[in-house]
Amino acid sequence: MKASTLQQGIPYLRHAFVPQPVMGRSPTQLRAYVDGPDDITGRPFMSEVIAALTRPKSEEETRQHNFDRSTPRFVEPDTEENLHQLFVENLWTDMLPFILPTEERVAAMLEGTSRSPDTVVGQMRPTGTREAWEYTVEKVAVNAVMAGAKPEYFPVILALAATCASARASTTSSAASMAVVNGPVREEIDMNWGTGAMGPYNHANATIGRAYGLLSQNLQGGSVPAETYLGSQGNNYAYNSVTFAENEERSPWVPFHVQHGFDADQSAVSVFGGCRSTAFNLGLRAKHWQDHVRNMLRGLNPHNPPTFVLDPITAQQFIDRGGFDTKEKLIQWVYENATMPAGIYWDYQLIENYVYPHALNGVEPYATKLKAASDELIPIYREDEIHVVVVGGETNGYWRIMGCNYAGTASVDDWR
Amino acid sequence: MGSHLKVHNPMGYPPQIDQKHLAPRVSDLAGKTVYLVDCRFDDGDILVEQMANWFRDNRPDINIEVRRKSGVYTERDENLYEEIQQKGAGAVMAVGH
Repeated sequence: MKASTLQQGIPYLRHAFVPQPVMGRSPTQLRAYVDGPDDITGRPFMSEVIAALTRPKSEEETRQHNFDRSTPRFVEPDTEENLHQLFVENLWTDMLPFILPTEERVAAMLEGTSRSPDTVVGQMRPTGTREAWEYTVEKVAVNAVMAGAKPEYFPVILALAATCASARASTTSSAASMAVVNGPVREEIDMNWGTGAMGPYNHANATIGRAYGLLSQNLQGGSVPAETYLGSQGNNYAYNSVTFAENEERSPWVPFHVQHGFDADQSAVSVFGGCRSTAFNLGLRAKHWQDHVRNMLRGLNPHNPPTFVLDPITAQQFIDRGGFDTKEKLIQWVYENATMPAGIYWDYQLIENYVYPHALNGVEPYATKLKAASDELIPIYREDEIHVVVVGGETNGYWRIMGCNYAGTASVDDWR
Repeated sequence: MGSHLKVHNPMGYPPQIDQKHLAPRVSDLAGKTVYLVDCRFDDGDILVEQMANWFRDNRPDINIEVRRKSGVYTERDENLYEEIQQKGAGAVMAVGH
């Protein structure tokens, strides 16, 4: 709370705290919170509230605060062992072994792009209510070195940074990200889109994804538990942000980046946020495949729309079973079949928090959904937020649905 | 110093912060209006209602206005903030997690 208000320029904002959690507590229990002590000071909560509203402003509260927070280019020279310890203590790492970003290593990474080191790549923030920090090509290179990436991967990493979508979102819901690479760069840097592509079996996949996480946490101003990271449970997907290349060669459909305005011979990377919910299945059965897929869709959370992550075997099955000879036809079917009764939909806490306020403000399609009778089936998701990518080595027809939000596609070629 | 390494700082560049100051305080809330604002965090509306009940039980001399902020909690509600500036002697923003 204090870190957040400091960033907003109000370092002395007054607070009073009831215990956590508030969610799920009855009115009687919450009245006891109100009648009880402040969870931090131990003094009566309401006395703290009244005092915060009436106590004269102190000299400290009225003085001009020093907000000097400049970032030096280098850290103080030290031994390798001490520097490793410094990076760990400062939470500049993901706690796995990392490469120290020496001048020589960063210079070598910068050879991977024609762009000037001082070119501003973008701004990033941990969450919408936080301030955005800025970063240059050199700063991205520093984090790419730490992740163990090779200079030839650097244009992909710069493109990820250019999306300005953080892979270290500070949400209590412990979100992670997913990154999908398309185009010729996949082959140029030997990425994996076949067997084990989403696992720890390819140097480019592994280190590009790790670099995305490290650059996010450091370039946005940190990912510090209880300060700039509030994920209650955390998320293992965050270690390499589920980074892989699409299997364009074996996909029966157009590549993902072509769906989003790029030519097939251009290279691009697409990012998705909010990765938590995952549903999984084997193939599509002849008799009840539609029921099985509907069950999977109901098993996701209603706030993060589905991205189908299909092995080529299953992609072909969707054509054979459903006649979906384009991704758009499959997406249309998903939109029409991902439904639930309106009363159940609006009762989800996630919907209450993040969708209901929009519906009240007349934002469509939510306002129309709000008019539905409680037992009327309504679409859970918008059609334009449902996506399909193809990855896997066809060892079997296993596939999954990732609940996640598409955040954009960035050109890799712009950063060569 | 021979075994010392010179390495880059991996952090980005923070923006400039423009300081905002606390609103003026009143010494006594009797007869004044205080806004209790539910910012739409999980069940925050129930907590705010209980705070309003406390004021009715213990400080009925203070006028309490319970409001639910428009939009999700990440968004500003400019109309409400304007109203509080015009009519309120103070405001409590119920912010969760």
